[in-house]
Amino acid sequence: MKHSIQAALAFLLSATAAHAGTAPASMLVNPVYDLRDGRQSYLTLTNISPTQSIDVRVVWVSEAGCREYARVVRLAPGDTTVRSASLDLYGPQGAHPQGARQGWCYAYAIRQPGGVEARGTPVAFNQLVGRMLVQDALTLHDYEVAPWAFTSPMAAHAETDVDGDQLLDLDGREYERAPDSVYIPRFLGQVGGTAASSDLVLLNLTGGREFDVTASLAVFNDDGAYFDATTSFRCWTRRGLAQYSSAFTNAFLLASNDEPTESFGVRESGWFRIDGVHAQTSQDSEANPVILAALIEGTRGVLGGSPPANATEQHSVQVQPYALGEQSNGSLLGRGLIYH
Amino acid sequence: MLRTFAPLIATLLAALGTLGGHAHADAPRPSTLLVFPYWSKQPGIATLHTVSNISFNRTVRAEFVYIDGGTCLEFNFIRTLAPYDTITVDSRTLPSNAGTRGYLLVRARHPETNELVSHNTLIGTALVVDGNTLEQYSYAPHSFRSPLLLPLRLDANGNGAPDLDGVELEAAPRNQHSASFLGQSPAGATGARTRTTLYAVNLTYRRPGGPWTARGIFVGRNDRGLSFQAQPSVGCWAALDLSSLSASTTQASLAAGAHDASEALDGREHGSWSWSTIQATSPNSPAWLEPPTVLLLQVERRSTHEANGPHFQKGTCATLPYIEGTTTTGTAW
Repeated sequence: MKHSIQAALAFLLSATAAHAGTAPASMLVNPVYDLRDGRQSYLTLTNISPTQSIDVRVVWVSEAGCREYARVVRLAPGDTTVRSASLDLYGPQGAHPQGARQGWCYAYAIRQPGGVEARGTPVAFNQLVGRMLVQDALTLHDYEVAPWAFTSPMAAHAETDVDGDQLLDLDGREYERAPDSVYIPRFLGQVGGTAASSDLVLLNLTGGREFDVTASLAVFNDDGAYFDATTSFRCWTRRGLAQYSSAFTNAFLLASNDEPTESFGVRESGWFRIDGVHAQTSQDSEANPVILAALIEGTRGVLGGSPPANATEQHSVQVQPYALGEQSNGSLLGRGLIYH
Repeated sequence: MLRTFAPLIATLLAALGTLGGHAHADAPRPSTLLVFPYWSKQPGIATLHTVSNISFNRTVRAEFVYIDGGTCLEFNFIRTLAPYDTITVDSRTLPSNAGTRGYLLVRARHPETNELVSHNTLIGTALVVDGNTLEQYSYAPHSFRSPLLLPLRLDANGNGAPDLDGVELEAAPRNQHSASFLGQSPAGATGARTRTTLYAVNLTYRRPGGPWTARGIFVGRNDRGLSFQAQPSVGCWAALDLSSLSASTTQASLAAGAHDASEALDGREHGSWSWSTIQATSPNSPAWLEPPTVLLLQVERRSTHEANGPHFQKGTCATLPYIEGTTTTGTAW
C-alpha cells in the first residue's frame, strides 16, 4: 500500500517537477541593448518549431521615456534571424531617434498578419529562443545578455490578450507571472579609477512607462552581513553599481566585518537581492512592482597580476540572475497614468 | 514507525509542494543541487565558482564535488554556509589529485546529520579566466530544486542516492536548444575565428550498472532552417567542438548552402541547434536506459582579427541552452 501510493505520487511528480531552466517561450524580454559610442547590439531570434512559421514583433524601447520602435519579422520553421539594433532603430540612413542610444527590447509572437493590424495580435507560441550580443569597440570585447523568457499557458496560436486591454499581461493567464524577487549571485567590490566597473540594469514592468518606481536592494557581503539600500527610476535605468549604494564598493566591503580569509581574486565580493517596493504616478500607485534586472560585470584585473598589454582591454560578462516567488501585476507596456 | 513511513511522507510533501506552485518566468531558481558543467585547473586557467545560501535562518553544508571529466573520479570537500553566507572556490587551489578539468556538483547536506537534504536556497555562478587567451566569461549552473519542502533526506526511493527523478530533485530536460551559433572556423584558421564548444555532463553515467554512455541526436540548422544531423556520444563528460560534431556548422558550409544572404553578424553566418537524448548503454548491462540525462553549456569564442592586428575584437560568451521535456534517469551521486 505504502509503495503503491508512493509510486503513484512519484509518477505524478515526474510529470510536473521539471527542471527550472529557461524554456522556449512566447515572449522574450531582453533588459539591455547598447548603441552608445562604439557599441553595437544584435538580437538573435530562433523559431525551434520544425513545422510552424510565426511572426514576431520586435520592440526596441529607448531609455528616454521608454518610447517604442517596433519591427515585425517572419520566422519559418527552424529559422534564425539576427536583428541589428542600429538598423532597426536608425535605419540604413542612420537617422536615429533621440534618446534611443540604449535601452531594452522585447519580442513576442503575433498572428500571421492579415495586413490590417499594425500591431498584430499577440498569440501563444512557446517555440521562441533568443539572445542579445553587445559588441563594444572601446573595450574590444563582446558580451551576451540572456533574456527573461515568458511562456504562455494558452494553446498554441491562441490569442493571449484575454482581458482585451491591449497589454501583454504577466498574470499567469496570458503569460507566465513575473518573479517576486531577483537575486544576483555575485558582484565584485567596486574600486573606481581605471579598474573595471559593473553596471546594474533595472526594468519596471508594473504600470508602464509613466510610473516612477522604488526598489529595494539587499546587499550581502562574503560573511552574510546585510546592508539595505533603495533606488528610484522611471521605466528603465542603467547605472554603475556603486551609484546605487556605497555597500557595493570594495572599501566598504573590506570594512564591513567581512570574512578576511575569503576574497574573489584581489577583490571583495558578495551577492544581492532586488525587490520592487512601489510604483506610482500623479494619479495612481501600485505596491510590489515587477522588477527585472541584469548585472553587466566588469572583470578586468580581477585576479591581479600584470595588466594586459592593451591598456584599454576590459572584460564584461553578464551574471545570470536567479528568480524567486511570483506576482501577477506585470505587463508590457502601459502608457497611461493609471494602473490596469 | 516514523522512519518506516519517512519516504512516503517525503513524497507526499513533495506532491503538495509541487502541485501548489504556479508557473513563473523561466529563470533559474534557488535550488538544492547546482551543476556547473565546466571547471579547469589547466595551466593559466582559473575557474571561480561562487555559491551562496540565501536562507535567512538555515545553515547548510555545501559539498563541492569536482568530477574529473577524463576518469570520472571525484574530489570533494564541504564548506559550511551560515544564513546569507557565500563562498568562492578557485580551481587553482585544488590539489593535484583532483584531476584536470570536468564538471562540478554542489550538493546540500544537513549541518548536523551530514545527510544529503533538500535545501532550496542555494544560488551560484562561475567565472572562467583564461590567462593564455585573455578570455573571461561567466556562466550560470544548471539548478535543480527539490520538491521536498522541508530539509528532508534526498532518498525517497531508498536507493541511497539523490535522484533527478521529479521526486527527490527536479527532473532534468530531455531536449536542449541553442538560440544560435556562429559559423565555425576550420582547425588552425587564422584571422577572424569562431569556435563553439559544448560542455556535456552525463548524469546517467554513474548510475548502478554503469558506466552508462549517453547517445543523443544533434540537429543543426542554418539561418533558413535547413537541417543536418549528428549522433554524439557522451561518457562521463565531454568537450565537443561544433565543427567536430558536424562539418555543416562551419562558416564555409553555412555560406555555401541555401541560406539567407541578407543576414550575417560581422560577416559570419549563423545557425542554431537542438540536442535530444536517446538512450544510454553500458558494457555491464544487457539493458539500456532511456532517455539519459545530459546537461549542456555552450561556450562560443570569437575574434574578428589577429590579436596584433588593427580593430582586434573578441568575445567569449557562455550560455545555458533553452530546455524542454523531462527525463528522470539522472543522479547526483
